[in-house]
Amino acid sequence: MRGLPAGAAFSAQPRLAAIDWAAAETLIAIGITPAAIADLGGFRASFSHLPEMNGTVDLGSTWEPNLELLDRLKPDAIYLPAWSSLSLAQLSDIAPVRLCDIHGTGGDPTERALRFAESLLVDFPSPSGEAAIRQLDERLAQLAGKAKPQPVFLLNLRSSNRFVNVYAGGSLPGSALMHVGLQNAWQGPVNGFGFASIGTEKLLQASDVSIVILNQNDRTAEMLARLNDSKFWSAIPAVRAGKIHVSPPVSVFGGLVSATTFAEWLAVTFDKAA
Amino acid sequence: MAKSVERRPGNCYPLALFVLLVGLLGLLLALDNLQRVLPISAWPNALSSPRQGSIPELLFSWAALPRLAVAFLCGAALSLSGLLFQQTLRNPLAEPTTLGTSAGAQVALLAALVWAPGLLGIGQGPIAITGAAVATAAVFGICAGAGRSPITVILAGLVVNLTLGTISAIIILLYPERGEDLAQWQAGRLEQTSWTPALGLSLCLFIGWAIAAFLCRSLRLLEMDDAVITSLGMKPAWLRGISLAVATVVAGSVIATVGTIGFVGLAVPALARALGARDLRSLLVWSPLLGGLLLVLADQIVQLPAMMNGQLPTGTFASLLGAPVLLALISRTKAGAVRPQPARTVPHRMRISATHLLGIFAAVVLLIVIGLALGRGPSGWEWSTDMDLIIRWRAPRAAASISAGVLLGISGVMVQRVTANPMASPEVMGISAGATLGAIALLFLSTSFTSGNLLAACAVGSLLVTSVIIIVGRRANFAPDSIVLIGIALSTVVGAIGAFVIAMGGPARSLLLTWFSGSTYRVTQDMATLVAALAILGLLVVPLFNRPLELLGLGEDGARALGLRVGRARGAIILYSAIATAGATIIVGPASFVGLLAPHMVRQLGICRALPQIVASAIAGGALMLIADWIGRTLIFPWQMPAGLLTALIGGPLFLYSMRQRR
Repeated sequence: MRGLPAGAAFSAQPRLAAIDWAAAETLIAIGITPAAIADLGGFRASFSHLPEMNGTVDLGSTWEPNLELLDRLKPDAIYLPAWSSLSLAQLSDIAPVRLCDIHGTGGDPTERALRFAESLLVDFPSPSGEAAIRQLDERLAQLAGKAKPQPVFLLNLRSSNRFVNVYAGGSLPGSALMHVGLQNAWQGPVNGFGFASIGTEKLLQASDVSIVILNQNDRTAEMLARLNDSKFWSAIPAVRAGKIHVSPPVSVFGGLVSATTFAEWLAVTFDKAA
Repeated sequence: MAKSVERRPGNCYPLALFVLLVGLLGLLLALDNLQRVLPISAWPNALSSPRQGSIPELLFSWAALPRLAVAFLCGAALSLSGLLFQQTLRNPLAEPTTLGTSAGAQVALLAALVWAPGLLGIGQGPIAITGAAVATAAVFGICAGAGRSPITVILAGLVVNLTLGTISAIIILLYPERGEDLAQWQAGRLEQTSWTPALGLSLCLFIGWAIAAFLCRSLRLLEMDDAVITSLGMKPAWLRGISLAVATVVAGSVIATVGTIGFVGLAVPALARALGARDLRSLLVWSPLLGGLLLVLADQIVQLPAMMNGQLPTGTFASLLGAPVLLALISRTKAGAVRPQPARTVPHRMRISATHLLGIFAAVVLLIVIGLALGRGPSGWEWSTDMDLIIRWRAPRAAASISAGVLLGISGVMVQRVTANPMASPEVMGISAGATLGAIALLFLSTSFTSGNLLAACAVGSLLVTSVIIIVGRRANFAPDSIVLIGIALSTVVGAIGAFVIAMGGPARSLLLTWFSGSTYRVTQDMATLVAALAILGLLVVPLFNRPLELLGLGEDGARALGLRVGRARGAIILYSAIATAGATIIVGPASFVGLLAPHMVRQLGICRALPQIVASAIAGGALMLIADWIGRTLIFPWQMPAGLLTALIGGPLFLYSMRQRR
C-alpha cells in the first residue's frame, strides 16, 4: 500500500478523490476541494449551490470510477461509499480508502454525517474546518424538536404520476425530518437507501398529513407541471388542504451540509409558532 | 397447434370449467382485497357518486376498481396479441416478449423520456406502439427470407430483445437518474390512479378483437400453405400484415399503460389449447377471457397483505407463474414443431496454410500491443510505455477479455454443432442466466461481499442451471430444440427477477446494472489468471471432442451407425460448454453475443471442420472481446463502457444482418 497509513495526519492541502458525494460535500465544507470526484457533472447538478470547481477532475461513473486515471492522479486518500465496497480491494492498491457510511448502511444518516465530518477533522485538522463543522453542529442542535410535531410524507416525484418515491428514516431527508421533531407518515418497508417506490394511491390512505416534495431541480418542475392535471392527485387530502410544500433543491445523497440546510427549511416551514 | 385443415370439434367443457374456477378464485380474492379498501356496505354509495367521496370511497372507485379493470384488460390484450402472433406465424412460441415487441416499446418510451420529454405529453401510447411496430417489423424483415421457420423467428426475436436491452442499458449508463423509470416499466406494476388508462386500453382491445373476430375465417387459412391460400383468392401477405399490426398495437398499448408483462401471451393460448379449444374461433373467445381472469388472479394475489406488502410487481409474479407453463409446453411440444434448420453446405471452403497462421499470429500480437499501449490519460490520447501502469490496470482486463472471448468462441461452436443450429449460442442456453441468478441470490444473502464471493455464486448458479438442462435434456436425449427452449425460458425468468431487483432500487441496483452490462472493470489479477487458466485448459481439452462433433454432424442416425453414443456425447459437450460459458459470464456478463458472433464469423470464412472451426472461433472471440474492452476503456474516457454492452451493440445488428443474408 502506498500513500500514508490510515489514521496519520495529512499535509496541509491533501489530494483527495471522492467517489462518495456526501464525502465530497463534507470535504468542501471543511475547506478541502477534492482533486477528483466521480460523476462530476451529476455532482454539480445535484449540489447546485456549491461554487465552481475548475481544478477538479471527473472520475467517470460512481459505480465504475476510472481506476487507471485515479492511479495516475496519485491521491492521498479515496472516499468510497460503504455500501459499494466491491471495488475496495482495487482501490486500496491506489491509496488508503476511507469508507463513508452515511448512506445505505442503516442507522441515522444525519448522525452519521456528523460523525463522518468529525472523523474528517481528525485527519485534516484546521481551525477553519473545525469552526465550520462546529457551526453546522450547533445549527443542527438548535433545530432539534423545533417543528410542530405532525406527520409528513417526503416525496420524490417520478415520470409517471402513478408512482412516487417516499423517503423514510434510513434516508438523509427522513432523518432530518425526525431531527426537527416531525413524524414520518410512511411506516411501510423501504429499500437499503431508506426509500420506496409506492403507488400514488397509498398517499390517500393517510388523512391530516402534510407533503414535502424533495426538489430535484428541472425534473421536479417538469413533474409538478404534469401533476396539475391529475384529478387523483388533487384528491389527496394534503393537496386538498393546501398542505403541500416544495423544498428548495436538496441532495438526497448529501452529507452534513445538506442535512442541516434541509432541516432548517423543514423547521421554518413547520414552525411551532405557525 | 392444429396443423391439419380438417379439425375435430374441440371439447370446451374442461376449458369452461377452468375459466370459471380461475374467475371465481380471482373474484373471491378481489372481494377480499376490495372490502379491505372500503366496507361492502359502502359500495353502492361509492359507485353512485364517485366524485366527491370520502378517502376510502375515492380509493375504491379511482384506484382499486380501475386496477381490477386494467388487470383484466392487460391479460386479455396480451393473450389476444399472443394468439394472433401464434396463428399468423404458425409458431406456438410467438408472443410480444419473444418477438421483440415489448422491448421495442420500452426502448421507445425510454428514449422519449430522456431526449424528448415533451413527446410524452401526447401520450405514451403512440410512442410505445411505434417502438413496438419498428422492433416487430425488424424481426420479420430479418426472417422474411429465412423461410420463417419458428425457431428462426424466435431467435431473431431474442437477439432483437437483447440488442434493445443493450440500448436501454447504455441510455441508463449515460442518464443514471432515468434508470428508475425504466425499471418500473420493466417490472410491470398495475397501480392505477384514474380510469383513463383502462378506457384507452379497452378501446384498443375491443377494436383489435373485433378485427380479429371479423377476419377469423380468413385467419384460419393461415394454417395452410401460402400457395393454397392464394388459390382460394386471398392475399396471404395482406392477411398476415393486418393480423400482425393488430397484435402489435394491442401489445404496445399494454406496455404504454403498465409496462412489460411476460409469458401471458405465450402461456394463455397454450393453456386454452391444452384444455380443449381446438380451432381459432373458440380460441378467440376463450383466450382473452382466460388471460384476463388469470392476470386478475395474479394481481389480486400480489395485493394480498401477506405478499411483501404489495411490493412485488404483478409482471414479475406473472413471469414466475408462467415459466413452469412454458417448460411444460416444451416437454409437450413434439419434435418438429420447432425444428432447427439443417446445416447448410458453405459454397467455398478455406484451407488453412502456414501463411495464414503466421498472419493470424501477427495480427493477434499487434492487437494486444495496441490494446495495452494506446489509451487516454488526463491530457488526451497517448502511447503509453509505463509498464507499471499497463501491468496494474490494462493487462488483467485485456487478459480476462481475451480469455472470456476464447471460452465463448469455443462453447459457441460446440453448442451450435451439437444443436445442429447455426443460430444457437451459449447465451441462448440459459447458462449465463444461471450465473446471473447466482449473483442475484448473493445480493439477497449478503450486503457486503467480495468479488471472490461473486465468482463462487456465479459458478454455483451456472452449474445448477447446467444440471437442470442435463436432467431435462436427458429425457429428450438432448434434442437440440428442447435445449434451446429451456434456455429461453430460463433467460426470461431470470430477466424478470433481475428487473424486479433493479426496480426496488437501493444499493443492489447499480451492482446488477453493472452485472447485466458485462463489464471487465472489476477484474483483478487473480481473476484474470483464473479465467486465462480455464481458457488454456479449454483449448487443450477441445481435441477430445473432435470425433464426436464430426460424427454428430452426420446426423443422429449416421453418428449412431458409426458407433457414437449420441446421448452421452451430447451430454458431455453440453457440460463442457456450460463450464466454459460460466467462466466467461463471470467476466463479461450474460449478454455479450460473442458466443454467437465468433462462430458465425468463422463460418463466413468457410472453415467447416470441427477442430479448425473451434480454434478459429476461439481466436475470433478473443480478438472481439479485446477490441470491445479497448473501445470501452477509451471511447468516453474517463467514463467507461462495459465490453459486453459494446459487443452486444455491434454484434446484435451484425448477427441479424447475416441472418437476413442467409436465404
